This record gives sequence, structure tokens and C-alpha cells, in this order.
Amino acid sequence: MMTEKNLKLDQYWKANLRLVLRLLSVWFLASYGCGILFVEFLDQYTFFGFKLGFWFAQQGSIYIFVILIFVYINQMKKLDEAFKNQKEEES
Amino acid sequence: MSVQLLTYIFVGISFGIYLYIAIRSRANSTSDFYIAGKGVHPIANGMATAADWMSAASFISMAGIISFMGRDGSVYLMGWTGGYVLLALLLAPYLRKFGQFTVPDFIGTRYYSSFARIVAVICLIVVSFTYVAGQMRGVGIVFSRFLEVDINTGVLIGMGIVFFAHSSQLYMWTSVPHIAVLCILINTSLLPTSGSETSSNQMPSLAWLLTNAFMKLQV
Repeated sequence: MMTEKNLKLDQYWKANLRLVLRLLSVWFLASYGCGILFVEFLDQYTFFGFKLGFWFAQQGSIYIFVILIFVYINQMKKLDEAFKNQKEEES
Repeated sequence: MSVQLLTYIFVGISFGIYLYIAIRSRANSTSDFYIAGKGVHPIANGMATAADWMSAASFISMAGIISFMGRDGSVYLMGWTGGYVLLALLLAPYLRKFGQFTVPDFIGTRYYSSFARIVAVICLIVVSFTYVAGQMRGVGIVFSRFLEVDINTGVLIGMGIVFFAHSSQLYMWTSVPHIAVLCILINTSLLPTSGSETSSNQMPSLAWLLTNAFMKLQV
């Protein structure tokens, strides 16, 4: 028998994985993508007097990393609370 | 007053502050040692993590590798800081939810196996040794310049301080003065060099603008 609780846990875990995957794809695009793969394309543009690809490799990717961690913490907090409320409603 | 005397005074004062904090807040239990008795504010805790990043390896070696390799060196910068995202998203939350302090503890408890725990401990020792070898070399170089001693003597002095620091609670509690000192050091020492594209400043665009404006004012 697949209990209600297991189903909820499954949903929680899937939402968790979706969030992590989304954030990690941004992580990959910002560092590997903008910093290495598309660097020549981005270098055509300048940002604060620096070539954009160079800026991404040196600084932009790090800003994005910090933002990603904050987004993750906030989203997980929301997810945890939603899941906790669901459990309390049942009992 | 000579530069050497000033160096001794500044190094002496900062060590004095660190040692004072260390003696005042010695660790008495395992949980004290790992998480400073749970009495640490999240911001101070975050500072400790950030101070961990700003170690000898990033202060000396990261700047060095970028100045030697030029632009290609930035892959190390992204890899290193990008690792923190992986840590925060994939490892830290689960360790926290599991209620264990260390990865070997987590693996041992999760897989009900002390063999798995031993394997994890061996991996940990290999990884730590690689990391510490680089850090200690950096510490040795710093002390050899500060105190004008041999690099080997510098490594020994550094070992003594690190041993003292880690056998007390120093690691956690000194993160606030530590991070303040490092932020000032990194930014002031790199500001003048940030005019070139290959510099490793933490805030290249801002510092570049500032130095540029400064140079224009002088002319």
C-alpha cells in the first residue's frame, strides 16, 4: 500500500530535485557557459570598461553563485513550510 | 620606525588578539569543537565559512596563478567558488537534516557500516593532506616574509599556531577579526594593480573605476 505520507514525501523530494536542477543549470551556464564556452562571443561587448566574457569569468559568475545560494535557501524554506503545513493538516 | 619593527608590532598585536580569544573560548566538548556550542549567530557562522575561503591558498596562490596564467587562471577562480554552490545545494542541507557533523559520520550512519565510514575517513585524510600541504606552504611563505626567517621555520611557526587554534575553539570565534583583516588586506594590496586586465582583484570593475578616477585627478 502506497500511503499518503510516502506520496507526500515523494512530492517533496521531486520538488527539491527540480529546484536543485534548475539552480545548477544556471550555475553551469554562468560559469562554464559565459566564462568559457561563449567567452569569445561575449567579449564583443564591454561592461564597466571590461570585456563581458572576462567580467563573467572573474566576477559575474561569483555574484551569480552567491545569488543562487540565497535563492536556494529561500525556496527550500518555503518548500519545508508548505510540506510541514500539509502534514499538520492531516494529523 | 622601521618597516621591520612595524611588522613585528602589527603581527604581534593580531596574534595577541587571536590567542586571547582562543584562551577565552576553549572547546570542552565535541559539539563545541565542530559548531562552537551552537551559540554562533548564523552571520558569524557564514563569516567563518567565508574566512575559510580566504585562506593562504586563495590569498597567495589564486592571485599568483591568475597573474602567471593570465585569463586562463580564472577557471580556478570559478571552480573554487563554484564548489561552494555545490556544497550548499547538494551536501550541507542533508548533513544538517541528518544531524551529523562530518561526512564520514553521515556515511557510516546512513549505510549502517563502519567499513564505509573507514573508507570515507581515508578519503578525507587524503583530501585534507593535499589541501593542508598547499596551505602550510603558503603559511610558511607568509611567515618567512613577515619575520624574515627560513620558509621551513615559517612552516613550523604556522603549524604551532594552527595546532593551538584548532585544539581550542579559535577557528570559529576568530572568524570576525580574521575576515575583517583579510578583506582589508586583499582589497588594499590589490587595488593598485587592478588597472590591468589580468589582475585578480575581488572587485575589479569597481577598483578599476576608482584607480582610473584617481589617476585622472592626479593628472
